[in-house]
Amino acid sequence: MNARRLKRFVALWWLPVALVAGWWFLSLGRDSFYFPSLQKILAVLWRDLTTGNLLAWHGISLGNMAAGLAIAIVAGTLIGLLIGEFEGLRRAATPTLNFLRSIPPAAIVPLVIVAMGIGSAPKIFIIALACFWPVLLNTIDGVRGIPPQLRDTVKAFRIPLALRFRRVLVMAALPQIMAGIRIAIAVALVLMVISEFFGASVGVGFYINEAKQRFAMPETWAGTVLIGILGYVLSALFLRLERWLLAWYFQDSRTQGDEGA
Amino acid sequence: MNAKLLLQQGAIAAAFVAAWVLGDVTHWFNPDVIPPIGDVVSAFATIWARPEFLPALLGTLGDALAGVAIAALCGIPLGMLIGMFPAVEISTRTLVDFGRSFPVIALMPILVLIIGSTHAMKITIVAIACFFPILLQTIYGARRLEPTIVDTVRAYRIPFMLKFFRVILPAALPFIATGIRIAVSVSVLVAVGVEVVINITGFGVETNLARINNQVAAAFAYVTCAGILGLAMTGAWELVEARLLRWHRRAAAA
Repeated sequence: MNARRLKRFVALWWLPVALVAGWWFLSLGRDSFYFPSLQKILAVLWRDLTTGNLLAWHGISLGNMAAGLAIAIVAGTLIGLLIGEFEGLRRAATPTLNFLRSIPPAAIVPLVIVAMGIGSAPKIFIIALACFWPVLLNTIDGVRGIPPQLRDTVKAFRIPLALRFRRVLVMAALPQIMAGIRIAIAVALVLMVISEFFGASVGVGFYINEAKQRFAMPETWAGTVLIGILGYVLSALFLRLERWLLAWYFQDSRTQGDEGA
Repeated sequence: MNAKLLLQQGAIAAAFVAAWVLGDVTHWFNPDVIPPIGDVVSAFATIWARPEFLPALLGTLGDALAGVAIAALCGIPLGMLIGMFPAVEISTRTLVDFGRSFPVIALMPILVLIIGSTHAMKITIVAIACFFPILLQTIYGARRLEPTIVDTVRAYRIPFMLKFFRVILPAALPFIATGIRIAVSVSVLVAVGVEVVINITGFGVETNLARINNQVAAAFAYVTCAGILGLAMTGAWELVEARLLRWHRRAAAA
């Protein structure tokens, strides 16, 4: 069992490790302006994380992201449950929703920054707005996908409305809601970075952009590497959470094949 | 029945407009932030005639399409390779997971310094962002062969090339088409995102300029144009997809 686990670990990680090692050794001592050595990038990253304010900025960025995501998840799930449950409402709202969600969130970043100033509030607003759509649309799909047998059971037992929403709809739509949140996390990361390119004085996005303006290549690379690690860690953590929350679902659906992306 | 649905859909849209108007007349919205809807509509009707409109449209559209094309050219063959061979799939899984969770827009500062503020830079970012949905869908598609088909192919000892072009690729096509549909809508979002930050002809640039010139209504109108462009491109791809996959739809319906 342990040997098999080790083998799987090696299979999953040999290529990334080889690539990073290749980057490290090939770039060692061959510093060019645009492509500093990996050693230098990591040294700068470590320096700014430990002695600079990058760690604190990192915290601020993550805080904005968490706040925006939380608003989007609460609003998207509640409105999604409502729209998904009432078929007439869903069909009537579909054109308006399709139109509104096609507005590129990145394009309104400068508008919102001007309107709300340069603090955290506009950044949280933009993240919440952009993440609202994937959560909303997935929740609607999740509620609509509830099997008719379940609906009949609810009707037969005359389960009251509040209980129906809390214990039946949310639970049945949960896999789809989680899929929506997974997309929302990726969206939030993008908007977090873009929003910090504008009128910001703190944050990881600001760190990268400010380094770029000084033509400080190692710092620009260091910030980008940090964002990459952050994205990977967040999605890996969320996958864990999803597996744990939805253990009952994955066990159930194993016979029906796994769901696509 | 259909007329009733249209009426209901109109009612929801009207409610949205009414909320906007209400926000304006009660001065709950600051007009410098959310302009009156009438101003936005009239800006929308006039920006078409501006000399910078067509270049902006072509800038966003052309770079988005170029990015999707490059992403498809790289993503489909790589996805087939990864999806067909389990050893390749498990070796690349960590890399693919890393790439799909990477916010591509964060690469922009590095690419601006290396490539410069050019269309090539915008296309590169769009291509990287579109690469992952296409790659992932292609991997799913190549992996999802029905066991009965696999057995049939093996029983008849169908040669590899024939198997690839007549069995695996057609089976993966519906998934690849989905990947391209996602990529098309991503491409406009990313292109506009790049343009908002860096001045490379497109709707994002015009949005930002209008905002700087205090023409908030025009800025709203340009943002709306970018949204409509995204919808139109997705719609156009769905038409192409319906033609390409007619055999699949027919088989699925039967």
